[in-house]
Amino acid sequence: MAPPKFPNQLIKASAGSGKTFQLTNRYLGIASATLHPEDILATTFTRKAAGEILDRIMLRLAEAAAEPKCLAELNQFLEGGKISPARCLETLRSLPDNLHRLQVKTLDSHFIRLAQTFSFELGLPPDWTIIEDLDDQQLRSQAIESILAEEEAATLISLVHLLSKGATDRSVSRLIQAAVDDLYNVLLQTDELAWQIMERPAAVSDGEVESALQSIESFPTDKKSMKSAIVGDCERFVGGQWAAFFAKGISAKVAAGETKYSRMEIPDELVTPYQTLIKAARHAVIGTLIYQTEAARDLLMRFDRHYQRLKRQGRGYRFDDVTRVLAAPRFVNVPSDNLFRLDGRIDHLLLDEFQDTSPQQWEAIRPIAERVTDGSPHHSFFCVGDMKQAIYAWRGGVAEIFGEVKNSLQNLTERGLAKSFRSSPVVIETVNQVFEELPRREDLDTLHEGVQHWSEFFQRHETARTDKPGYACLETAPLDREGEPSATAVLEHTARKIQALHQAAPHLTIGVLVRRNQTVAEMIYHLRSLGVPASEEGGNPLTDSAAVQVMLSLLTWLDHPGDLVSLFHVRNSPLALLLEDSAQQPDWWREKMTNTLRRELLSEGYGPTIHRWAGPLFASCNPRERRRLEQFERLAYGYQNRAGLRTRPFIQLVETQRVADAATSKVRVMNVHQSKGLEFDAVFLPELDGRIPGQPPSFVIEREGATGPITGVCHYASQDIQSLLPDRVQTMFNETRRQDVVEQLCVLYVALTRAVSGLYMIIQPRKPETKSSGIAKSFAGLLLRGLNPTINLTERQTLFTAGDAKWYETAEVEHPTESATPTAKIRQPIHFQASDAEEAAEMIAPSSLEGGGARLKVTSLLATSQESYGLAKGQIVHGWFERVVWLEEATLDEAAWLAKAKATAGPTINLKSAFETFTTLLESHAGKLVFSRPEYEQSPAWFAHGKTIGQAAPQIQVRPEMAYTVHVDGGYSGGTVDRLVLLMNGAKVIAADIIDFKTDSIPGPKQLKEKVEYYRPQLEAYRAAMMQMFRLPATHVRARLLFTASRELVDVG
Amino acid sequence: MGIASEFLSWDRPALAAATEWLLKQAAGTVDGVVDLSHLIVVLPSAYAQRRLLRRLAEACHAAEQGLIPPLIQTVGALPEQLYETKLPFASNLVQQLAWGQTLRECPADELRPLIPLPPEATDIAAWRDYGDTIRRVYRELASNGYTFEAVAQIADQLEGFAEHERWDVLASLQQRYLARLDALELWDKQTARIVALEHDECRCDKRLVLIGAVDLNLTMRRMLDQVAAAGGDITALIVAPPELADRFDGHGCLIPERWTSAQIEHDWERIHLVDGPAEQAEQVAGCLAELAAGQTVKQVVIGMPDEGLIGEVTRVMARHEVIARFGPGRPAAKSRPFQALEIVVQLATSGRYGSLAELWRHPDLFDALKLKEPGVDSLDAFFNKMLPARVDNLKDWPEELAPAIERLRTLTKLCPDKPATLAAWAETLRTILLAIYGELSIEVESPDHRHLARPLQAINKSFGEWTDVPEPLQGSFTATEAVDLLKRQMGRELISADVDPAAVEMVGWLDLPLDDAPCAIVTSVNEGVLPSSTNSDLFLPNVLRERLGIDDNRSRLARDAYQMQVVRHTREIVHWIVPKRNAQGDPVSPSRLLMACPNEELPARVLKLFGPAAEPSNRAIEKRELTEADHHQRIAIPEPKPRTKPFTRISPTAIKLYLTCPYRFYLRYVAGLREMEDGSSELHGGAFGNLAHDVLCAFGESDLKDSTNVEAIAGLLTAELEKRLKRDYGPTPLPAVLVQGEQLRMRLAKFAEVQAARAAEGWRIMHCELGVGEEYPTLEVDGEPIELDGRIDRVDYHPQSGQWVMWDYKTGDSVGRPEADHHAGRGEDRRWTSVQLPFYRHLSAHHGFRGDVELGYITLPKDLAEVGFRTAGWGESDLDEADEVIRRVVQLIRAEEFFPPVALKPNQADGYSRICQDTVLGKWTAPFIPEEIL
Ligand code: SF4
Repeated sequence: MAPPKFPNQLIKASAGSGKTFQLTNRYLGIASATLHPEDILATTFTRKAAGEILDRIMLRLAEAAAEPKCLAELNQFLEGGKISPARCLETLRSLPDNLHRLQVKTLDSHFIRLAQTFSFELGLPPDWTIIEDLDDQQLRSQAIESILAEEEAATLISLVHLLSKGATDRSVSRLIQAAVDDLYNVLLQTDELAWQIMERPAAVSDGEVESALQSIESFPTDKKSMKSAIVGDCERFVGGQWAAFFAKGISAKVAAGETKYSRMEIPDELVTPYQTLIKAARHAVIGTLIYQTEAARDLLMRFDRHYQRLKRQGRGYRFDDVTRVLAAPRFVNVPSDNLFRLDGRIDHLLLDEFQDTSPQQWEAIRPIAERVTDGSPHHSFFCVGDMKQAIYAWRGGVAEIFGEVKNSLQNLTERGLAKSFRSSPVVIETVNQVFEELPRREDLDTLHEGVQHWSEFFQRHETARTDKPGYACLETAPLDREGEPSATAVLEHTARKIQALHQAAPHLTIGVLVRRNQTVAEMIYHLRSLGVPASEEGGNPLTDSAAVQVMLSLLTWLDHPGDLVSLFHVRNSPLALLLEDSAQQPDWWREKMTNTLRRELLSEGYGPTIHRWAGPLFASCNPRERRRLEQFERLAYGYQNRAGLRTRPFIQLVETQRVADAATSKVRVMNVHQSKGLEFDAVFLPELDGRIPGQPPSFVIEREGATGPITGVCHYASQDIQSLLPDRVQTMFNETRRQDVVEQLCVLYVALTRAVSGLYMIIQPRKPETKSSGIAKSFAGLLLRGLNPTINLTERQTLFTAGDAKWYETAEVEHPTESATPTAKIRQPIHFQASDAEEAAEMIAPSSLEGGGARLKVTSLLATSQESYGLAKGQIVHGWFERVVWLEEATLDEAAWLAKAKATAGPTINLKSAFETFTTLLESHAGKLVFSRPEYEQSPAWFAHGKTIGQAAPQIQVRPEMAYTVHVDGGYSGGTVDRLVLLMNGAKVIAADIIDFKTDSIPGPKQLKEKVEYYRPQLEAYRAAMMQMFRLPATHVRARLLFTASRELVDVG
Repeated sequence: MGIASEFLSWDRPALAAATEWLLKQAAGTVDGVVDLSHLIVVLPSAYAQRRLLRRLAEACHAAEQGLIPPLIQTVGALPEQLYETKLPFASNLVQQLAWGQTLRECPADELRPLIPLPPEATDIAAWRDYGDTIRRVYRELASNGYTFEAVAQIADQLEGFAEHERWDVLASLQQRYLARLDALELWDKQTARIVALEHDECRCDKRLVLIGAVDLNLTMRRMLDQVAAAGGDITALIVAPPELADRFDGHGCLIPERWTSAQIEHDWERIHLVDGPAEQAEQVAGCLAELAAGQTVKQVVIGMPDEGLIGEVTRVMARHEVIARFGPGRPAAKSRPFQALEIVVQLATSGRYGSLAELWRHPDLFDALKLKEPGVDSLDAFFNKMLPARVDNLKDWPEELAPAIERLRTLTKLCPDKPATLAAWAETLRTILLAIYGELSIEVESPDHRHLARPLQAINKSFGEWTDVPEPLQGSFTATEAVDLLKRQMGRELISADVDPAAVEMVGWLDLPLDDAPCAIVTSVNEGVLPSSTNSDLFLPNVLRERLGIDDNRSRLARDAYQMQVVRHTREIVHWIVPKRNAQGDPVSPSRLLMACPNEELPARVLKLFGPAAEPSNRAIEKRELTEADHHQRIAIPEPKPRTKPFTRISPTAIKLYLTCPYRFYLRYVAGLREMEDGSSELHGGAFGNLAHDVLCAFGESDLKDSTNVEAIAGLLTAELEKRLKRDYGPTPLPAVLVQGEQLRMRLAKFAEVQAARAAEGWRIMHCELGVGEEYPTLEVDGEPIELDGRIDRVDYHPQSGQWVMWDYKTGDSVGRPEADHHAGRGEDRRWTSVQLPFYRHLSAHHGFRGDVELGYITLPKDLAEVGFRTAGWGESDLDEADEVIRRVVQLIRAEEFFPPVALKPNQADGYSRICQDTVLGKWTAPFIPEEIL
């Protein structure tokens, strides 16, 4: 049976219309048809989504395998035809069997795998890793610091001037930081040519300008307005106020090609010199723009040099670095060809959230997409997304990517999904009304192009949740205390409304969606002052805990003993216990104490140390504080491996890292970007008054086609002088504006469609008694145009409502929470059964017993190579002794013995001389006492002693290098005796003789005595062990040291 | 003779069974002693090695016998017992360097198929890293008896293999690498083994006992075969019941297919599906709580297949007062001695202030250099005054720092700035360590043994290796490269944790089967960890591994399936914890091994394993309903203590702070707290302002003060600015400071214009930085005088009109009207937030300026168009109102009304915000005391 063919599909889905559902349908269809799920690559954008998709796939299949009813339902949606129960089970089995090869993942992780597999080809250092965001930021600031510290001041001054657009900002690093944030990514994607898109127009000579100015200034006229215009024009020209020069006066008219100034004909005698000035001004304007653009590149190149060096050093790269190298032309075709290294094929490509794909990401994945759309029945392509939700332009996403896909791939069909499974009819109707009405409006002006463009993607929405109650309203907030419309007044008003709703229906989830991160914090502030527990999406930084703040003060203080504010904080907290503080501390106490604390932190690491320090605080914590303090400990443990000598980076981490409190509140505040993929029973939008298009970017760019590479970059120029620029550059400015409008509409769309039932839009009123020219260009203005085109907005005015204001009384709970009643959790100690000593006994590493055992001198721990040379030599000699049981029985074939020692010796040791020492010793008196059997047997005192023990002459057993293990206090300890001679009576040991070889050189008797004392504890330990092992009295165990260099044998007991 | 197999069964801990078996093998040569010296026992890991020895010792102790233990080896070290080594082996380091040099010296053209984008020839570190990558591949292949050439031939038969060129390069590099070692009279260990095999040299005259060695590599197997063929006595002890004999081969190793298809039973009660690392740790605590009642700490072991989880588990256990111990410990790279060495070299090579500031805070250097006297605080203060970027060329150190800096210089001078050989660096770095620690002697029993002695030993061991690197590979390393190399070595060198009888042990997955605790908790039972798998790879993707018969996904699955069985069967209780997210936050799937079941059972298992995570169940957490009191903050904002010094004087800055927040006023002016930090890399607002003030004051006191000549004024300002920059920030200031100076110069140039115009209007500068003079002016408040302190930036007078103006310079980036700075709200609601300018009125009266007195700002913001003079438009009643505010503030301060703090908005947070709990959710409020008690 030939597997069914899956059509190559592009699905344009609207919010809440079940994109993921479609994707899993496709996945399951292919898996059941091929039983090779490992050949499917399914990607999405967040790790969380990737996990959820795989879970859904597995669960749907398992349910179907378990329940015929579920299988029937699955069969309804399955792409590629129905499957039998047996096939279903087979498919299910194929998934766990291939679990290690399934490719349901984020696009980034797919790229990382590629880049790891081809890191040599990509020029990445062999053991590179992905760097954490915070670490990367630190690298960036470090690179900026290096620029500020190392580059020529004169260069810097001129660069900064050009960048700061004539202003004189105090903070240079902030300026550079801003340039890096805005443009570094662009720099990486462009060559030098892209930064040189303009040519400087022909210059006008000073003389010409001079005479033009003169003829204008001296132009005789009695028209007062004409005269003052001329004076103004000249002033502006001389002062270099170009924007004004082209916006005002006669110069503006002449430049625009008009012939009249305030209804007066401009005489020809004036037009010509004016044209000269205009030419000169144009030259200056464009020249500055060129300089500014070049300066930015220059600065960024400098930054790049420092930054790349740091990255290489740390071998850490960012996700977009990886994407960039993969998208580079020289690499694009390598990976898909190389089935071998990838160890697997991709026959089916499934892309989720496609609108967020950046041109570079697309470039990197395109080879696969092209391959799977080749028309083969074994291949397929599926991609789903919503161009209306393309809100990641700032991250490199470009909505046009959809069109690009359509154009560059073959055999593609397109499908739309516009039925919501999320929102109530009221919300959906509101959305429809806004976006259907907008393109029909005639007062769009600069928004026009963007709105038209965006509307092409919009089709009327429907909803499946027809019975869901709902409510939508648009209203103005009151004026503030000063009688002005203000953003703060809107936030305060919104907070009160949320308070009311939350009190009336505490079970509902409420999302407060704003534009800027700063507003998130402010909104939370207002909500909390009203007693509404609100959390930031992804949580707040731990600085929302008083206990953590005390800990941070402690960490700050130990980095800065002179920071009395922090010390005061610690001293007046439960942590005072740590300080061993007393009323009268000498001056240096702070320095000493902080050093002690730093020592502990460095020795034991952040985790255990902070755990110990936080101890006294726990008693003073309420349940929430306790949770937060524990989370702080978690950060500390996690940070441990990155820790350096200063605490500031950790403090920064704590202050910026968001940590969700386990008990998240029902009211969550976030920016619209963070709300993507989420839904709430009620949504509040309190920040709708920002202008559209927003702040002009500091630079505009040009791409080849909608998603192609960047081909041009130009510094921003004010609206007034844009018209002077070459057409190409003007197009760039227009294009930028249009894209901005489109993106803003996407943001608005995402914000509106997060609501299930309640949608509350709160905007600023107009300032009373101000004349207004029309509806504003802002989200508020867009909503007004769609819902109620009103110009004069008074305070507390209801502009639009739909549905039931008391909707919440009938709304069911959409997201039931786990535990209904919040509880306090208190950790109790865990008590184990008592263990006996024997059980706890461990192998005790024989810590060096030499030199008294108790203390180690650092000088000897760091013994130089000279001494380690001695060590190697000692090893060799030991090795040789091991092979001599008795001198009489050994064959001392020099060549053979030397050969055996060679492996240990290495090139530095003179084996010949070592061997000479060795043989000399054997022949020496001391040597013979130990190694010669007859000598040993005759060694009177000892042997006679042995004789008195046994009845007959004892047998002698030699055990070179004898290992032993004995029981000692608290565990077991072992060691090796260099040479043990046992006197035996049958199998019974009657005496033991310990000999330990020492290769130290002994210059004289005094040193000998010292050495013996030094080694005594070690030999005592051996003796004790042998006594225990063979159950011998002390008198029957002898221990001796044989000094091989001085050939001395010393009795140690 | 072949290899004998013995099945130990798996109904009790494997090492218990092995111990029993071994004891039976004792030679009865000596009475009362168990003599196992005729045996070589081989185990998979050092951990098992220690456990076995302990078991043997324990058994003998119990039987009141002495023990002569066998030689116990790990599998990795066994081969060298089986043949005679003839040349010294190349150490890892030497191998790395040799590979690196081989690569580096290979012509770029030849190398291209392997490394198309080679690093610079001088970048030794990069080459070493490339070398190390290839060394690892080489090692794995060679340990299975393959050369690169042989691999290429085999790979040729694989689908899609298009890398012949690349492998040819590797093959030729391998030859050069081996030739290089030959020339150095060094042996490559892998090659030595193969040569020994080829020459039939593998022998062993002791009896070999392999325990639980279930996946020997190909070379190892061949060596054992050779030993056996030559009459060697080898026994493989297999941890499995004899019924499973058909799942093991003649070497006692697993037959992968027999294990990968085997079904594994599970006790579902003891499989816990949880969310992420925190929940895993929580569940570990939960399992411990359950086990604690019936077990001792030593009867429980925690399996940690993913070491990333150790911190989290340790932490949660500590909160339950249970100590967790991870034997392998922390890398020596994190130790104090290494960090000291690193920072000294960093400072010596970079000369950056940042390095100095770090060094100053290293506790051991702090002691060794006797930094207590100048202290960290003096260094901070010095930095904030001078903003040095570099310190290496700095000459004029303040008196209190100079001696310490001198001591430090002696230390950093030890580190030469020229490249040198590794051997030379070993000497140099050792000298530096001796200079820091040389005086110390360390008690064996003290924590310093772990913190100092052992790291120092580890470092010194590396130095020894450096010295032993043969001359031709010694290379030429910069200080940074040398320390970087040491750092990598120290990263692998673990300083083991101290033995702790009260601790629960955490062990890695490989050590778990042979651990002998009766209860186990296994964490991270997820795909990718249990089992791990490699699919795509730079050199050895799974297809190739399969083809070569070396460690591949199948054999890993088999090994983990087997281990899971061993762990399950040899213990009384095993808990398995399955996370949905790993320590990095990536979603993970449950282990395939949990789904090794008949197909009928599969749907149920999948439904359980891919469903939502359960809340960890931990009975050691006491839950109770929240009470009202639980919501109260218990960490107090410290209440003000009564003033000890009399309050006699007030300044406008102090009033402003009081108006912002009385408590902050208390902290700043009554408790006398100051902040300290050293974070700036350029002039901060205050320093920038001071610089501007100084320059403007110099102008106001110069002969040109009444000049109308723009150029002259601008010239003077520029000269004064430059003079001050030189004076305050040294002859070679931070470039950032110079740039800022330039920004300021432009503001001043613009100021020169407006100033000249002002002078042309007839205004004269009368005073600059006018303080109070001999005697403080006073203000009567409640019949009691209060002294007024303050300084007027500049006083202008217009002789024609007799008008005075008191000016305040404003140099912030953006500035507003004076009124906007002084009050908020309007009409009835107007509140004064500052009284600075109105305050000047009293000072002016004190100085006797008669007539019409105006107040205003001279603004020098970043937008040059805004540079100019702005007077405030207050009338007499406004100013009276401001005076009222001053009086009120004085009254309140006298009454010591400082509490509670005012909450500042998030963007206004300041250094006091932590104390004031500004960002705290549920911040502290003073306890409510009912009125009747008062
Ligand atoms: S995130 Fe929600 S709305 Fe978006 S596709 Fe998935 S299910 Fe649909």
